[in-house]
Amino acid sequence: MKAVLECASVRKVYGEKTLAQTVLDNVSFSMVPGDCAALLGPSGSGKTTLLSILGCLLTPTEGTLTINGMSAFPKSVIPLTEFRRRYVGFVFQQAQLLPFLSVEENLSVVAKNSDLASHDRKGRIDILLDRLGMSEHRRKRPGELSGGQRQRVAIARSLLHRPAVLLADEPTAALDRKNGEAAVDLLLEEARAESTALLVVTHDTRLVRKFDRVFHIENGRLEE
Amino acid sequence: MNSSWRLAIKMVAFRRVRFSVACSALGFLFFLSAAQIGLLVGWIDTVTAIVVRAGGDVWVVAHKTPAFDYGTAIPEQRLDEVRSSPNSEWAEPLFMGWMFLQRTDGRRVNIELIGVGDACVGGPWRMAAGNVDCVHEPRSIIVDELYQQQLGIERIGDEIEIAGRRAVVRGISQDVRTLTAAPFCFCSLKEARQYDLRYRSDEITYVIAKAKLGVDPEDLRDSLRSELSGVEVLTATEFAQRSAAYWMLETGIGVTVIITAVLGFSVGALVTSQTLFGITNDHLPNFATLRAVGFSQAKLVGIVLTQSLILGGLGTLVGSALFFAAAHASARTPIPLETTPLIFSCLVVTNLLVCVASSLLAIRTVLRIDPVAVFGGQG
Ligand SMILES: Nc1ncnc2c1ncn2[C@@H]1O[C@H](COP(=O)(O)OP(=O)(O)O)[C@@H](O)[C@H]1O
Ligand SMILES: [Mg+2]
Repeated sequence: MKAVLECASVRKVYGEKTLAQTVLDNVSFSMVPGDCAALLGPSGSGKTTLLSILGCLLTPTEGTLTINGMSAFPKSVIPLTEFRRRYVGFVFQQAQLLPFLSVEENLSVVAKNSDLASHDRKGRIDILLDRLGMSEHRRKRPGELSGGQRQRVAIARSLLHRPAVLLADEPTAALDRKNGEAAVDLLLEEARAESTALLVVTHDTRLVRKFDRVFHIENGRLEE
Repeated sequence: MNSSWRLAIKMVAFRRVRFSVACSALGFLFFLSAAQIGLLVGWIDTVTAIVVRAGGDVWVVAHKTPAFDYGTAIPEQRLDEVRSSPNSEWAEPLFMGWMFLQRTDGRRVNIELIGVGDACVGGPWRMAAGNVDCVHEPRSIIVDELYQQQLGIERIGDEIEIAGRRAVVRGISQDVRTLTAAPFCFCSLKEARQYDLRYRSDEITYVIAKAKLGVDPEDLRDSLRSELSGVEVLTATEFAQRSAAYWMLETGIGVTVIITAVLGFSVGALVTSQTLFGITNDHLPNFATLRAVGFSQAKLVGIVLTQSLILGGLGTLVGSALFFAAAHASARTPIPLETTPLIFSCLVVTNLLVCVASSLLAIRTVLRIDPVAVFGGQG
């Protein structure tokens, strides 16, 4: 199968000269549609940095990055925002929903910004809310939801535009054990259902067995 | 409602109190500016009213007459000359002079006395009581409703003195305002020359002329210029503009209100700028999230611009409501707030542009947002 995410010899150095700190060193790997991988590593090992690079939020110092067959680095054919808009879905540690919009509105502003056809948007939102068990809360504001419920909405938001790559940075960190596990299950379920390549940063080693692949990162090196 | 609009509105109005305070402040400031310009329009209307309402195309005035209120004597012969000009349809004389009126209780009040010819051209255009033609009755005088109290006049038939001569109030006009604190009173040209001893019986202040059908006011003006000597000939528009320029610019009162209006817009700009900047800063994490999930910088700028229009639009709405209420309430007073569709549209457009321009600081902030900030707090 053709890779949807491919990075080769990625290096990331923060700072300059004497203050330079190499956070990622020669990171290479690829993922195919439906691939579900966990990313483990101690705090400060560069997990967030790697995810930011894969999600086109941050440019690497060296290396190449290809998403959905298109080069994002070193030469990008379309603006990096476009990669995020079309191909990448994000789930963060905090749900990061817009507090002034209802659940449904949080999804519809993102759907409107995506390439989803207008007749497709409402149905897509309905299906995702339904699958994630949030239909009855669609008119609530994020402030009226529990942490687990908010994270479900964030998962729905990340999947709306049918991304090729779904990146989750410690999505369970703000949740209790039960809700954390439920969130990871949902991510895995949705990624498999939609053939999305999923990469989840987690500290919870007990969840690791649910994934097809496991990456370890330490001292800037990535190992599978 | 379009979802981007909804996003912009809900974000800007998220903190209700701040939003309401900002809209009220902007409304008040727009009202302030609009009211200043409204005063200006009202004043210009006041100082040009008689010239504009007289209905003539051309005015013959003494050399260097700075404004309608400062006319001086010209020979009445000019009137006959204008009448015999092939381009004039009709021509009428007008007297104006500053006089003292002595009230029944003995108090003296400065007035601007207008003496009209047989056709009453240059006389009052609306009457509250009596008929304009009553000025031709002996010792007759018309005063305006707005200044009745100032002149100590209660009803028609009241007697007063002008320059030591008795006069009887036979009519009460409406909406003839003065900017000078000296109210306009009307009498016949003949009476006026008897009150004002500076005038000889063959002198008048102005000749008002109408052009023949098919003759432009400018053509009549030009032909009269070549026919008449020792006077200035102006179109009615020119004379009105000269009067307005004298009062608004030479005396400086127009400049004052314009400065206040500009001040209103400037403070409005500050309020908008600070409000939007504050809102943008409060929502930095949300903007970063939007960037991370694929919103372009242009879209974020669009959100801020929409918000500036929402603030500006609501401010304009509130301010307009205040303005039109004030204009309505002041319509029948000596100092009315007035406007025209064109002037008011210009004010609205200016206000919206000022608000949009004021979003610059907020836009700069939004453009500097780094989407990596979505991972903020995790080190
Ligand atoms: N913007 C930055 N500038 C400089 N150093 C950074 C920046 N972001 C992260 N770092 C450093 O890079 C290292 C890896 O950070 P991060 O990717 O957040 O690790 P993790 O997510 O695995 O905890 C840390 O030492 C951190 O201090
Ligand atoms: Mg991290």
